[in-house]
Amino acid sequence: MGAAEGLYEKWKSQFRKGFLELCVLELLSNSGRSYGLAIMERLNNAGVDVTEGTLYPLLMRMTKDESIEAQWETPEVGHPRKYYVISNIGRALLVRMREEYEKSAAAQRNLMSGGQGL
Amino acid sequence: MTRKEYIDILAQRLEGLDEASLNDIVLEIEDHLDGLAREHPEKSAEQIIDELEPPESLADSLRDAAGLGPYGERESGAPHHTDQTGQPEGQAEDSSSPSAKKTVRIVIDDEDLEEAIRKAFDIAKIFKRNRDEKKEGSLKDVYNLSFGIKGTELSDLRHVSVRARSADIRVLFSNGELEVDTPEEEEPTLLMQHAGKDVLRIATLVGSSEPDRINLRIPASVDELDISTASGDVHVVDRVGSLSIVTASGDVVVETCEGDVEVKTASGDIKLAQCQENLKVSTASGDISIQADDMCNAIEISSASGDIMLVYPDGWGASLSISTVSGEIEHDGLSVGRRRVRIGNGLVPVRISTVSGDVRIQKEE
Repeated sequence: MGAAEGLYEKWKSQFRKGFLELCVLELLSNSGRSYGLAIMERLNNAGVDVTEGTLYPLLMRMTKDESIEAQWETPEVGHPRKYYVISNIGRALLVRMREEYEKSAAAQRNLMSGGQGL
Repeated sequence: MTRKEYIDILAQRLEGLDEASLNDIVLEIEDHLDGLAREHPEKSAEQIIDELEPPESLADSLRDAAGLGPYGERESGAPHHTDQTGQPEGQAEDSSSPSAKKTVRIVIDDEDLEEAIRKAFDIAKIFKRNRDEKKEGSLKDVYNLSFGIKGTELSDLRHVSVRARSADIRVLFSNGELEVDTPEEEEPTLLMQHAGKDVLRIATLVGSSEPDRINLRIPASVDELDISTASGDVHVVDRVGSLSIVTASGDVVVETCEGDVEVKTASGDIKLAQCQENLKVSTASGDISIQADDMCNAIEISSASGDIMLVYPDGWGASLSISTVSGEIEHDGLSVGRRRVRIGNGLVPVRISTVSGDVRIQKEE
């Protein structure tokens, strides 16, 4: 069990790297705009476990890649807040990512049921 | 680990990142911590920090995302941005003791004054940058509830939170319902939002014109009232229950409050009288004037450059501990060098700290 657990953790971290980026794009595409903590909580509520140490570097990289855009807002004193929105690049990327994801999931289901003696 | 230590280590290990990005990420994480603190009032600041990913590994991942090499491959040893003591060897020290390089450090409840001032400057930079960029967009689409003038029957309400920019806010006591009105405007557009079952948020809308003034009548059933403004003044005429006020440049006056009072400003002046229970007051450059009440439990005052004046009634008993770096201390007209002053029976603990402000302690005439 120990070995499988270790391998699983390793696989999961690789798998989630790309998956999380897709989730962030989905979220921003849906909600319009959001900020770090809210994004983290919505992902966690949706069942995608994510920590600060994963999310903020990802947001930083995606901002650099220009799939999302960040801007500071000062809706009230004391809490200037950095909001993220999806960019046009991000929208185009999301369409392609969804296709890939669906295709991959379908392929996996196909293989899985194939294994049961189709 | 304290919050300051966390941020210090994070900032230090992000060395090599350009200043704007560093500023950005530090403030973003600070906002994250503020958010967590608001959502988990039951947790201490340290508890929240302890549940986070260690700052070292967060920094490592951020470095990676920013395309920087691992921490430690230092090129020039450029001074760390919070290190203003001019000790070059501070950089080489173990990151687990960032406080070691400070020559003077004033800490009030985990919050380092110097850090608070730096943060205020960082926030000012963002204000400026936003203004320069004239970014469009607002929060209007999130919730936009035009609020008819008064009469919200909210007997279950325990916590009211008010946010405004330039509007002055006046707080009065209500024997009955909670009332909100804005005298000048016909139909003020305020955002009223339930945040949790017993919490009400009132805010002025971003991008729309604000009323000049917002009047609040708050019943005693509301345990907590917090108010924050940018330039708006806050005037509390009468309040029963705890009170927390934050402003940037707005002045704060509290005439009467039966309940704990906490006030923070950047440059706004603070004037408190007849405040009972516990008082906690801090400012960067505003002046502070407090008229101590017989019913006070404890007082904590801090400033960076603002002057502090404490007037106490005849027969009052308090033990004062005063720390100032370059300011003067005066007690009943006499200059004192002592850092500890005892008045009467010494019952009420009073802590005063300032960097360059003068401190005056005076008996009521």
